[in-house]
Amino acid sequence: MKEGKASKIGNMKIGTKILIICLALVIVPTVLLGVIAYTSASAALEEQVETEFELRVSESAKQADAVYTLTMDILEAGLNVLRSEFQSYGTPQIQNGQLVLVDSAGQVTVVNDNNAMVDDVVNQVGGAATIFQVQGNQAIRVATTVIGADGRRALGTPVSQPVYDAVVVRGETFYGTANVVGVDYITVYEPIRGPGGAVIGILFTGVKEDATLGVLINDFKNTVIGQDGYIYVFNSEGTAVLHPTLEGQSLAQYDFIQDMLGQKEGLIHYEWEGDDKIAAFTYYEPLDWYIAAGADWADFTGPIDAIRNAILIIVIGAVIIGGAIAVLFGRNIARRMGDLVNLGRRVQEGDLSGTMQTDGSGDEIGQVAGAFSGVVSTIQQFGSEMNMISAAASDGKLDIRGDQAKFKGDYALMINGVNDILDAVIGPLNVAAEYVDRISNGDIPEKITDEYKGDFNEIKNNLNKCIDAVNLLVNDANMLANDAVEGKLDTRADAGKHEGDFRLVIEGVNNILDAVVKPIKGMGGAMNKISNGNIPGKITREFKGEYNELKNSVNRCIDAINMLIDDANVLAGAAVEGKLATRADASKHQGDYRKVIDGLNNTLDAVVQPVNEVIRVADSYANADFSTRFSDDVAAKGDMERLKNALNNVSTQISQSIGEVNRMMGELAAISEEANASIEEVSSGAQQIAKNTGHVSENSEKANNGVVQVLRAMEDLSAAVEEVTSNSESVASMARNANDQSREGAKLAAAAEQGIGEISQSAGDVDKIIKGINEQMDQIGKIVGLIADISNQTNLLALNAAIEAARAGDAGRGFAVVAAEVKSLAQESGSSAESIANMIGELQVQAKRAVEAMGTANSAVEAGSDQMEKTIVAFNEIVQSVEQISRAIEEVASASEEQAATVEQITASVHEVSSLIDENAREAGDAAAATEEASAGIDEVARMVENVSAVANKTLQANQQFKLAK
Amino acid sequence: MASEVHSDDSQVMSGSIQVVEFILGDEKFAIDLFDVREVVEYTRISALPNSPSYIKGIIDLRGEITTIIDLKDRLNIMRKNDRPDEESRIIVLDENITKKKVGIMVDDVLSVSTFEMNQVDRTGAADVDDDSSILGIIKKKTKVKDKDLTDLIIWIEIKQLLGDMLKM
Repeated sequence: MKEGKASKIGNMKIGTKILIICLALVIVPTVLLGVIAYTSASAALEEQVETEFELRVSESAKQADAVYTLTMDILEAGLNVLRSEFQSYGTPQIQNGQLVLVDSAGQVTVVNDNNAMVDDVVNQVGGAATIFQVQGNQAIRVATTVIGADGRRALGTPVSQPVYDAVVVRGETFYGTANVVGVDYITVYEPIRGPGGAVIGILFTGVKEDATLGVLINDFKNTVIGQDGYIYVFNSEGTAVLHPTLEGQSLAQYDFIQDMLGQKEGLIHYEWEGDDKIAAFTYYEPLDWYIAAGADWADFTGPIDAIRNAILIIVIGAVIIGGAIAVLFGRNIARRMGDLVNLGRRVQEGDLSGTMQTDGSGDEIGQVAGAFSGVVSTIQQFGSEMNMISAAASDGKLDIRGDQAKFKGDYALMINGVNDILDAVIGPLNVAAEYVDRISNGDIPEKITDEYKGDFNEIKNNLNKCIDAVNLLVNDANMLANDAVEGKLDTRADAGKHEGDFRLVIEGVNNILDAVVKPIKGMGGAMNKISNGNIPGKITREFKGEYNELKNSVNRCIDAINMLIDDANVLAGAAVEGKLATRADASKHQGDYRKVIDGLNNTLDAVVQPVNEVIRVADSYANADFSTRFSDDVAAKGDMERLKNALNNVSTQISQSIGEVNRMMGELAAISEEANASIEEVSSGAQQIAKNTGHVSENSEKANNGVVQVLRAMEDLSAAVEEVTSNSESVASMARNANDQSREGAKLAAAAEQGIGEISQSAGDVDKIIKGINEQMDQIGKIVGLIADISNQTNLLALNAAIEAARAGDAGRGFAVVAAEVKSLAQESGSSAESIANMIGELQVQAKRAVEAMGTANSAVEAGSDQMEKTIVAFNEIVQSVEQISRAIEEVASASEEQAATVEQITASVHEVSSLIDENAREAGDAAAATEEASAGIDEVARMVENVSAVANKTLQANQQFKLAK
Repeated sequence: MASEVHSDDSQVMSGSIQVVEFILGDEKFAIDLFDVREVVEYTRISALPNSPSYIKGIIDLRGEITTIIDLKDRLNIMRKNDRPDEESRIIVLDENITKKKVGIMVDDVLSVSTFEMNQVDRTGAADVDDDSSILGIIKKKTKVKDKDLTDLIIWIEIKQLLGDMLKM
């Protein structure tokens, strides 16, 4: 809303703005001046009027006061005259129901109906005078100058009740207005007191109101304030005392009257019968008068209205003149500004053709128009420069730059900026172009790492992506190619890693591999089987194009191999059967297969000739002719040559062997003869042995005697061993006894140890009890200390009592005895307490000793316990030792027994030795016989050697028949 | 009997005397009963600065400041260390011999005793210098385990002894 307003103001035409400004400049000060003048004038006038009103009212009040004071003076004077007149006749009394005055001479003057006094007074001071007599509850006029309505003295009429109350009842002097027999008087009533002080009558003087206040009221009535203002008076009940129209009526219903009644004095504006009125008022208390001076406010506002009207006229005139001037200037400026605006709009819309009509005026608008024209032409220049650059750029001539020297300031900066833009564009473009060029030439560059901004960065990122994609593609292609080269035909590239056409490329490569691999695998399987010797059936599957030719070739290969195998089988079968003459028909085969069959045939040929030669040589060997050799005419190669050499070697070796055998047989014959000689020597040795055997027989008998002696000694030993054994047994039984005793001892020691433990516990208990006793003794000690303290105090008291008693003389003697007694008692109890303390000390020492003794006993017991434990250990050790001894003795016993057995064995052995020796002797005899037999055997051997010699000779002769190779 | 006794020396020559016996160190002493107001227990004594050594200090005795005199110090009796001050007694002297309240500190107060004048040996006292204020030696007969023993009590005139000081 506010902005709307602001923009509305902003959008206003300049003419309007100028108009508004001029009008504002004219109206605002004028109106301000007028308002200030008007308000200050009206304020001054009002103040003046108010002052006048207040002055008038206070004057009126003063007037009223003067009149009232005067009236009161007259009344006082009249009353004084009346009182002196009255009292000149004596003291007032009531006699016979009449008011009388009794003078000092005792003369009585009756007042009743005696008008002389009052007339006299009226004659002196004027006004009216009356004397009342109190009769019952009324005061009755008994002498008066007041004339009643009937024209006679108003005697016998009573005073009004308020006056009666004030004067008779309360005994006061009454001043005020009162209606006296139908006429308003300003009055004063004074009580007449009888001899007892009681009010017995009233003295009255009065002045007719018309004669005093009436003059004032008339004066007020004639007063005119302003044009038709007037003075009016009302009393505190709101009744109008004086008013041009409403006299005697109550004004209390009017609010302004109530305000006046409330304020008592001041100035008030109010509305009266449709007119604005102003009234100043004041209260005159003695008369109970509110005196107000009121007038129409309009009577005083004339000059102010004149000022107001003059201001209005000036403002209107100023507005008209100012408006006219503003419109005049505003239109001129607005028109020229409008032109400028139009031009500006055209420039804004890009129409730079327009120019500004300069009207030659040198003011700011003219200058703005000139500057604007300059701006337009500069922009035109700038535009053409930009056009040139952009045309060059769109033609790809990116090296064209704007000429910033043609322009000033920011235009130059803008051209410079455009140049910078071109520079900024060209750098990354060149890089991009170079990268794209390299990629297209297959040279995949590294990623661009330079930082570019905005879209250049986008280009950079895209290039990097392109490099990544191409690299990925190249990698996968390389991988596939390498794997294909290495025969890993199952390898496939992951097409999912690539995007778009790159993926299509990779998928295509994968498909190619799939198409190649299937036939190759088929053929490969077949070839594999063939190479494993398992010739498969023909491949029946249909392949396309060259794959089919490949398949046919494989099938032909299978046929050729099958045929070859058949022929090979035929040849092999024949060879197995030894039909070496069989040959295959080579003409059935083609190419290398034919060569194979030819080769087989040739092989057979190559084998058959050497075999025949071998047969011939072997036949010759069979006929003991080892001089035959494998003929060099027969071609023998490879293994055949080895066969040939072997055969030849057989001949050579056998010839050599037989030669050697022959030589050795000769040697054997010679050795046999030497053996013969040796055997003869052996024969003589045997005879020597027979002789020695006789000696052996003799020695055996001697040995037998020695052995018998040994036997006897052994029997003695046996007896001794038995003795040892029986001793050992008795020791063993003793050891067992000791063992039992030791165990008993250990048991007893354990019991003793338990007893010692109990003693130790008891000692601990005693220790505790003694400690308890000690504590209790401490307690007793404390109590004893308390008793000692008390006895001390008592002692002191007794001492003081004794002093007091002694000082008291004879009177204190009895007390002195008591004090002495108390003192001795206190001393006794003190010494008792001390002895108890000593005893306790002693006891504590004893207890301490007991505790110490107990501690000693305890430690002794503990030592005993330790000893006992050691004893038990010792006992246990004894038991162990005894057991060891027992065991050892048993071992000794068993060893002795073994010894005994051994002795017996030895004895038996000695017996055996004895028998052996016997046998030895016997065998020695046998040996002699055997030696003779051996001699006979040796002779036999000599014979056999001779036989061998004969056989060797025979063998030599037999070997002579072999024909040996040289 | 007591009425016959007066603090004035001259009248004590015959008849009997009433004394308060007390101990200073190892010896027994006695002073006239009528010079004694009362005996109180030791309370803490506040030392007074710049005063003679035998003026021990002052105590508050039931609201009255009482000057305490160490009689042992005054009589040049060797102080025995084994008796702590706390066990000593204070003999408050009668106001009729002192201008202000004075108490004398003694080791112990034994009793109020009456002696016949024939038990008092005044000759021994005459030999001693006047300054010691010894009135005489009282020979007190006591029975201990059916054995008659004679204790010697040194009877001193406290008024003279304290002499100058009491006039202060």
